[in-house]
Amino acid sequence: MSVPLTLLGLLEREPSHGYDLKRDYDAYFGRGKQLPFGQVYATLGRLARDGMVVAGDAEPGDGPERKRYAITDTGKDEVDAWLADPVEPEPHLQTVLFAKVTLALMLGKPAASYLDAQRTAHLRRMQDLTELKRTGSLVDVILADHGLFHLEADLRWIDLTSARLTELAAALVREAALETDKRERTR
Amino acid sequence: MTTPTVMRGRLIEARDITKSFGQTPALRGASVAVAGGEILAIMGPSGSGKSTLLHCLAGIFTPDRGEVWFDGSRLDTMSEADRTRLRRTAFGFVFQFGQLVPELTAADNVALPMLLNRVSRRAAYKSAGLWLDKLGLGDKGGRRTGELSGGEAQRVAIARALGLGPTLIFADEPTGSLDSLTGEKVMDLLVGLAREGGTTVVLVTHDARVAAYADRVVLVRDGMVSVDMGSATVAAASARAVN
Amino acid sequence: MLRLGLRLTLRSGREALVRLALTTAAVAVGVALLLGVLAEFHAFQAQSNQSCWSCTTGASAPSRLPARGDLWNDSVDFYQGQTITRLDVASLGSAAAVPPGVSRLPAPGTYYASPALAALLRTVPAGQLGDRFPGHLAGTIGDAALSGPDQLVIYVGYTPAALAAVPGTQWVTSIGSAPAPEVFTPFFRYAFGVGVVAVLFPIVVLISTATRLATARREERFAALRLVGGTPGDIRVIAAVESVVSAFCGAVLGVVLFLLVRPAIADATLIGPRYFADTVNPTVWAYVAILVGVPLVAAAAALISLRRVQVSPLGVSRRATPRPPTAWRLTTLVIGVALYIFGLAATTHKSIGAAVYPGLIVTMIGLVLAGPWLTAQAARVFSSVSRGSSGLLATRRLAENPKTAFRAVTGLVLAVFLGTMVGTLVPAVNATEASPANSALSNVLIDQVGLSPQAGAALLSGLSTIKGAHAYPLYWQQAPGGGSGGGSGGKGGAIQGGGQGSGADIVVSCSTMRALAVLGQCAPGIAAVQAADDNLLSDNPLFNTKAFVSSSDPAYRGDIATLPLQTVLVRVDSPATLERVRTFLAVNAPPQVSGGPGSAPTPPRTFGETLGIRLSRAATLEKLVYAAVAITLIMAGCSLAVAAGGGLVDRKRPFTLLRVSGTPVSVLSRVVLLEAAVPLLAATLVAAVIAYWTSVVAFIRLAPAGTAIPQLGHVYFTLMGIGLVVAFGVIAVTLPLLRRMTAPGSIRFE
Repeated sequence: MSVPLTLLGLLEREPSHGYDLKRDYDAYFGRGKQLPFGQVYATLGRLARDGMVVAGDAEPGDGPERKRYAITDTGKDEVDAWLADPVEPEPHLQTVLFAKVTLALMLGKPAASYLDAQRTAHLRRMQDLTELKRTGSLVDVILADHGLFHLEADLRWIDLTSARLTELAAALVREAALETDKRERTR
Repeated sequence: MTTPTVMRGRLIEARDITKSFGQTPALRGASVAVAGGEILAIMGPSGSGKSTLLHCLAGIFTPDRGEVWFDGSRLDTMSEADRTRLRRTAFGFVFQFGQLVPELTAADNVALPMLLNRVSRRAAYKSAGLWLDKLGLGDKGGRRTGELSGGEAQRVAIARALGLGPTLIFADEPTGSLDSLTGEKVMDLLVGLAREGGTTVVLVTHDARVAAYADRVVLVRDGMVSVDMGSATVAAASARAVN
Repeated sequence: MLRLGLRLTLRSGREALVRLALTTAAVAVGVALLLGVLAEFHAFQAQSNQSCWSCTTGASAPSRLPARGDLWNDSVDFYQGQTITRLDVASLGSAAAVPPGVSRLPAPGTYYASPALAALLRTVPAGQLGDRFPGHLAGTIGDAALSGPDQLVIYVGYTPAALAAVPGTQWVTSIGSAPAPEVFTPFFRYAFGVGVVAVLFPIVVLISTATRLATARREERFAALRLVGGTPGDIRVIAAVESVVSAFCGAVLGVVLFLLVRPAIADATLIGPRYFADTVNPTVWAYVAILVGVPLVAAAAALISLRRVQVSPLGVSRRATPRPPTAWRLTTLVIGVALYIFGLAATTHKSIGAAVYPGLIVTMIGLVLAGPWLTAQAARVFSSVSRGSSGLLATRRLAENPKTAFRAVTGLVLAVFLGTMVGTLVPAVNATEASPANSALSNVLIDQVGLSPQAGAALLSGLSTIKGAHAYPLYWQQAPGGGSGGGSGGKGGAIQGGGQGSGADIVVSCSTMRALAVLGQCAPGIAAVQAADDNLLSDNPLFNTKAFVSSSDPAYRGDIATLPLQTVLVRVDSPATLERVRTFLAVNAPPQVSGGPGSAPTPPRTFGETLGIRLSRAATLEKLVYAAVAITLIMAGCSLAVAAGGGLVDRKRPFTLLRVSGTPVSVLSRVVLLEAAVPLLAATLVAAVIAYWTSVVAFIRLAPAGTAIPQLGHVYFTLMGIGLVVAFGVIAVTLPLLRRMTAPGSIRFE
């Protein structure tokens, strides 16, 4: 789960305080676990150092949590590249993919084509594994089967999620509206 | 068996075909090209039109709009008699089920296309026997197809499809009713024999593990070929085909 | 459950409705035919059970006339091929017995005639008809006395004194009410029996074929029902409902069809004269039996067809090959033939042995049962001979499922069986009737007049005045040395036939013999010859035309003009002349009767007319039985159409897939034809052979010794040829349908 890139993606929506970023992250991607504040600010600091974000003016007398961060163009490119790049098959693929799809939808980027790219990558991998089964030993075959079934499971999930994209997008819009409301009221 | 023929370029191609059944549009401007010696998988969810695309390519359906080209000539404008002949001599078919004549034996079924092509009875049955051997069914030639298991029946179907040495094999969910291991064996045989003979294969499936046997995969969605997931190993595939 | 069954039957989509419609139509045709046969039979029964007033017998009229009852003299006359039943009657006073159809006896000098005869009397010149009856027309005879609207009947009134003088008059006090004794040969009953069976059997076969149509679909549907919890009993109910609905609709439609066609049937003549139109009606019981029985048979057929089928919720996934039919199937056939032979052994000329009909029916059942076995054998033979792909497909399918294949052609096989029996028997029966010499005398009238020499001479001169008639006399002499041989003497001294003449008691001039050369020739050089008239008059009223004079007969040296006139032969040149001669003879040489009361004398007839009567009986039988064969053929055609149509539905998917894989339609068409041709030809061959052989055996048993073995003639082969052509025509009609249904573009892949 790539926390920096996810925070970066969340930041691309609009400039935000670290506190807001952490709250959104917990809401969409935390899944019960809260991201420690320290990690958030440390990540933001690193991103700033790498030129992905810029820290905005703080209110005089505020600590770092009062700083407003904004994404740079470099940061935006980084997000784009990350979204477009298919994820390597791995156990936590789905959580990463989910984050990417959600962010893509929030940012109005073509989520469907990202999924397609992922699908293509998976299939290529499956083709390689199938070829391996033809030439390899029995152990290779068994291991390859294992890989193939997982890849297939991923592909199934990708198919299903593709089918749900519109639903998901609508849900995100609603969430975002609620968030904005809440924020207005607490101000 | 025929000597392997490899054709560069496009062996069979669908250009922007549209096909509706009554009010329901099945294909809306689908295009796909298959090179000689290639193994192509057409994937898609059910109702996407992938089977219809296969049938249009094979000349079973005539598209409402668009063109189908096979080996340099228009397939969709051919007469039914010519298309029948083509389907008998140049194409082989493997379906999910129900394609064998149940009251004939396995050997009868394999020999049937050859008999239809006026091959002598003796030669036809000899060839049928050889093919059944190749598919591991040497001792089952005399069994009625109704008595064979699913996997065995599919192997008979493959033998029948390959019997006359066709240029193209069309397979529609060939492992759809089989379990994983049997399906794998069937696909191994199908792909292996096709590669051996230089036969082109167009394969329709919803199963990614089956599609993974192909050199190239295209995805059909809502009646169109939306993604062409060409293979990174395309060069390797063509190289294989030449050998 | 019943409602569900009904819904399923009626709402299962176009295909099922087509199947329903087809079955209904076929059953309708069968039911209409059956009703037609029953109607004819009813009319026939009504006619033959009618009280026969002309069979009334009384006592000889005493010389002193009693004061009650009637004097009664019935006879038979002839006009243009039609019989006139004539009653000369005189009332003796009170309590006169009145024959049916009139309210009182005709007064002397008047007569009552039936409507048909009255019409004739109006149109035909008196010299040809009217003059025979003394007096004038006073009224019409009602239907109660008639057996049909065309019957010619006349009651002529006489004074008692006049009638008492006529030979053969009886004294009658009451009219007989018993029906006429069995004048129709058992053949007619046999023929009706055949007719009913000919229609009933194919209907049953048809219904059972229809219930098994589109089995694959049916099994799918039933499996689905089992899956949702239906019990096997439910399945049975639904299957029964399906067939009952179509059978009942078919029965109702058939009744309607019959009612539409009935007027035409009522007017037609199948056996003998026309029936009264209102008797040509199946009884109410027949309607009830059909409307109840046909659906019952259908339900039974449906239940029987399900008997062996265990419908599991999963349907039939892997179809095991059904066991091939064994040779045991031939058993019923053998039993049937044996029964038939047994019945034939008990047959005499008088009656047909009791075991014959059951034997015939069991034989037909045996054919139906043995058919699949024959099909399987024929398929085996054919597969070793055929080379091509259509042969392969056809023979394998036949070997796999011979029962279904044979079911389609069952009706045709039965039709061939019946047709062969008919084709063998009927021409043979006709052959016994015809003999070459008949035609030479077809326009020669023969009348036994029995007149004294003077009266005879007067008659001859009177006959010579009729234009177009030539009379040839036969004189009678007291047989030298022989008694007068039976029969009463009396003034006229007429001897009724029956071969009672003993010795050469007929004298005929040789010039007469030269004119009637076919009846024999004199020895050369003599003017008159003595001969016996047995050959001429035996087998009365079926006159024979064997020669009765030969060159070895002795000459007669006396003057033949002095002899009494026994018989006169008159050659006529036209029907009108014939009637004039008959009228003349009726007036001037009234029939003489001897041999006891109750035997009506024969009116004078030409040889041709006599032959015609005999032939018409045979022709009637022929018509009847060919009608039965035609009926069977129609039913067989319906059966085949139903089976072919249903078979198409079953084959649709495998055939379409074959076409998709590149099989040309022509191959599939050939397969369909072969699958019908092989069982058809195999079974019809066996059926024809059995039928021919059993008919030959029956014929040899029933026919007089020495008749030739019947052969199958042109008519038979033509009829069979037409039948087979029609059968293949029916199949050929389904072929374009096959082409369209299996078009690759029409398939739906799941």
